[in-house]
Amino acid sequence: MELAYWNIRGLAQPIRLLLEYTGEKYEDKKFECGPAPDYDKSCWFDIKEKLKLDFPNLPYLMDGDVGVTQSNAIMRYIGRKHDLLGKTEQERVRVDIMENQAMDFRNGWVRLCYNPNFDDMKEGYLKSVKDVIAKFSKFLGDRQWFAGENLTVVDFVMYELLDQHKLLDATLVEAHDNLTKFMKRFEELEPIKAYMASDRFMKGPLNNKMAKFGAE
Amino acid sequence: MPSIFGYWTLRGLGQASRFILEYTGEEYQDVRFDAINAKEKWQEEKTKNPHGLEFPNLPFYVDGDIKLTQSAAILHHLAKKHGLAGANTEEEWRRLDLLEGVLGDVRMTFAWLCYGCRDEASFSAQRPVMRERVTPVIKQLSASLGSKQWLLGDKISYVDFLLYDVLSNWLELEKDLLDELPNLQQFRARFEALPAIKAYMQSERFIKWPLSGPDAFFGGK
Repeated sequence: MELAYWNIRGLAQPIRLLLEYTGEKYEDKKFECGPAPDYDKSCWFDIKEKLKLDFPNLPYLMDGDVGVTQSNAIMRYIGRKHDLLGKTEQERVRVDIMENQAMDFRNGWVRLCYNPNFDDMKEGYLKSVKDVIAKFSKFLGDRQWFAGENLTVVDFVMYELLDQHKLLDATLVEAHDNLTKFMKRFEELEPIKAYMASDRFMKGPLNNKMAKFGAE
Repeated sequence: MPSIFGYWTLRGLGQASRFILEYTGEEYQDVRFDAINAKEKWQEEKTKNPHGLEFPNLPFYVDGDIKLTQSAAILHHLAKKHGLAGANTEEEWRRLDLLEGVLGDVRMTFAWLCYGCRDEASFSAQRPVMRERVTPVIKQLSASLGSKQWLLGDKISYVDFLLYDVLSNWLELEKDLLDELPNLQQFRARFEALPAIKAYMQSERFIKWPLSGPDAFFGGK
């Protein structure tokens, strides 16, 4: 398989973690945008229309003849192959809720990171995100994983979002014992542990160069 | 007992689900919250949380023990319940996931423009930028539909309800959006001609306007 994305964690990091966890052989193709002020993206735009994709976009995943775009569609594609979309109806509904709840969480976060007024907005965000994270903690409860007993694709997304928020303010996650344990449990999954210790693993940047937070 | 669908008195994120509820003839209670004059009514209900929602939010959907928020999660549930999620093949699943994501992006572009602009000057400046961003995707959607009746082929699925709704929003702003894309125009006419949809759109249950909440610069008032 080939996964292609910008040379950042961004939308691709949960996919990378999922590919590593499932042991899929993949090439981690990374595009780099140019420096400020133009942030030249021609390396991507030059090939964008040449790919066999109906809706060319980054990230994309090529698996033989099959090309997939849209990060959640990629997560579900890999998830179906490896039975990581929930094993009971109850778990599947929780995956649906979490997939979208996590997307809302991410959208708010990315809006902050890329906002030119990041410094002014940070305090307000910290205040509101505390409640958001508390709801996730309550939703997880004493379950092993967000869907229930079984690991699913949404755990990969949530791990990444929580990890990024730790970089903003570690106490956001530390305030919740079950989220802390969830993250530890995730990091101790054998293939994840091996990936994180390898030089394939990208610690940063989280975001592209025009972002005010996480661009380094 | 009828199911309960709760949302603001506007189209927004609730409309695709309302279309599905009407199309399938599901007996439902359309609970509406006034976003302009009585926003506090939802705030009160949110705090009291009478349905026991885990992430109290609008839209919500309650059907016996099933309690959902997140518009896409509600759509998935309704699609599974009413056989509007394709033929359970890997290829169709992939296509549904992809189209759902793409249509979400098209909606987000519209929302950014409408909610992100505070005044006429910024709206006028951003409008062509967003139009330029969405035009290629609309063309890709047209190519993806091709000469098929619906996005998956002969059988309607939940992404068709999303497509109709997202196009309707954009067309309120950019009237010529589909001028050179006759298959999307035909798709819209086909959708509107579905008997249950036609009856719904002629009834007073159907909300023509507003598209968005009162904070939006366009479509909210």
